[in-house]
Amino acid sequence: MSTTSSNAYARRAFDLIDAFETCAAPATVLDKLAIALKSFGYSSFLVTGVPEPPQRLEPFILLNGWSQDWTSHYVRENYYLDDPVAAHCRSTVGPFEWSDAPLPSKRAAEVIRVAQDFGLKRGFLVPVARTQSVHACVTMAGERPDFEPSAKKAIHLLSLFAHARIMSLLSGNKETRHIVLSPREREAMTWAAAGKSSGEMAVIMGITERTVNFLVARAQRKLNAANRTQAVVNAIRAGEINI
Amino acid sequence: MILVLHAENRRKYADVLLQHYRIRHDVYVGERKWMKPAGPDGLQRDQFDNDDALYILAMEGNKVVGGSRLIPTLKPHLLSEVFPYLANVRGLPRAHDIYEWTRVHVAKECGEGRTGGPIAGNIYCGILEFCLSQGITSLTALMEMWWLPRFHEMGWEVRPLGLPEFIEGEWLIAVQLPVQRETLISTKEFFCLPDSPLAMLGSLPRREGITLS
Repeated sequence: MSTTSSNAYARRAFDLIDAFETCAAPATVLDKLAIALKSFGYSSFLVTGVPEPPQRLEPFILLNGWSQDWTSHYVRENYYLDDPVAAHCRSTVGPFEWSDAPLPSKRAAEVIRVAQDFGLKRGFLVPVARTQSVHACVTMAGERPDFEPSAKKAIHLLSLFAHARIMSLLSGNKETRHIVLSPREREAMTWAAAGKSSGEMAVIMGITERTVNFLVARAQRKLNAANRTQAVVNAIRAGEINI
Repeated sequence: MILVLHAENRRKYADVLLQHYRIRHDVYVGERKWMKPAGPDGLQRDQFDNDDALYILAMEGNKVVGGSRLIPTLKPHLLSEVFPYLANVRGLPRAHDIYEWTRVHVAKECGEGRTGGPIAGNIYCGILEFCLSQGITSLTALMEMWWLPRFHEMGWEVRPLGLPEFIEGEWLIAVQLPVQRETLISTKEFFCLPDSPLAMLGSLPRREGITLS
């Protein structure tokens, strides 16, 4: 791989990253991302949060570029529970080809096989590790995508910026603002709902009391609550925690 | 409270600097296993810990609870000496108003974990306030790719200088981080810190050709 070609891939990524900055709506990000990924040989893609099962995937989807048929099938069969690519994403930081995800069960293999039937022959996934919300990813597939190392690096880079732009646009709009507690905030609020004090939570969670108070204060703000008790109520109402 | 150490005051605060090196050893050698232990003294230092380096330290009383290091890009630094090829697409920025940012960490016993808490927030804001007061317009950095979303969340602009590379088990990338007043505002909001300026100690080094804002 010559420097010129890897630089060319880099330039494609940089140009797209700059283009994202001008997008005023998530739909525009989707359009630009779709065109760019097509040029890399990906026919479709998905940008989504990656919740812990048994939570369902659908509420966390940000941009759905999959076909309607595949989406319907996936949801109807509840493939998310056994999706080996999703499972691998939850346990890894770096991007990977779908074929690198272990297949721990027959059902997992079925998910991959049926995806291929729907034209998603070879796939690539970029995890996005957030602190303020559940982990997320940008995942994509096609018949014969460009798996040149520099191509993958370019996609790794532009995926993170695509996701960031979408989140920034969504959080700026009060109506679509997702009240999504980070995993640690959710953990703290669950303990608060169970009546634990900050001191007890610190011991349970293995952090200092000051950090506990910090997490609770941030959750309180996101939940628009005046105090911890109200935050617990709002969290339960919003479905952020279950008791 | 934020303490700024530089050539002119680092000898006066020699014991503080030792604490900083010790924390770096715990974090980078002990916990993250980035480097082999340098020696029996339990301190982590490298060739860039010289008189050109600036240290932005978070203090509680006389105790260092976290810190960070800035190196002038006009002097030898990590990106120029060790990883210049990572900036081969956009070129490595080197100017009097650009510093390289390396090593940001919080002492383990402060229990902030990977998500970061108020101490991490104070360090980021301390760095930004310091840069704004000194006319430093951007920071270059070598960072793991998983840091990018965190900077985006805090409202920072991140400008990649090249493609990510897989080095010693991690995806790393060279970036440039513009420093603006808006960056400080969004970072303070992210960490729920008050609007007032941070308490900063350590008379700032004289800088030629820079107008203090």
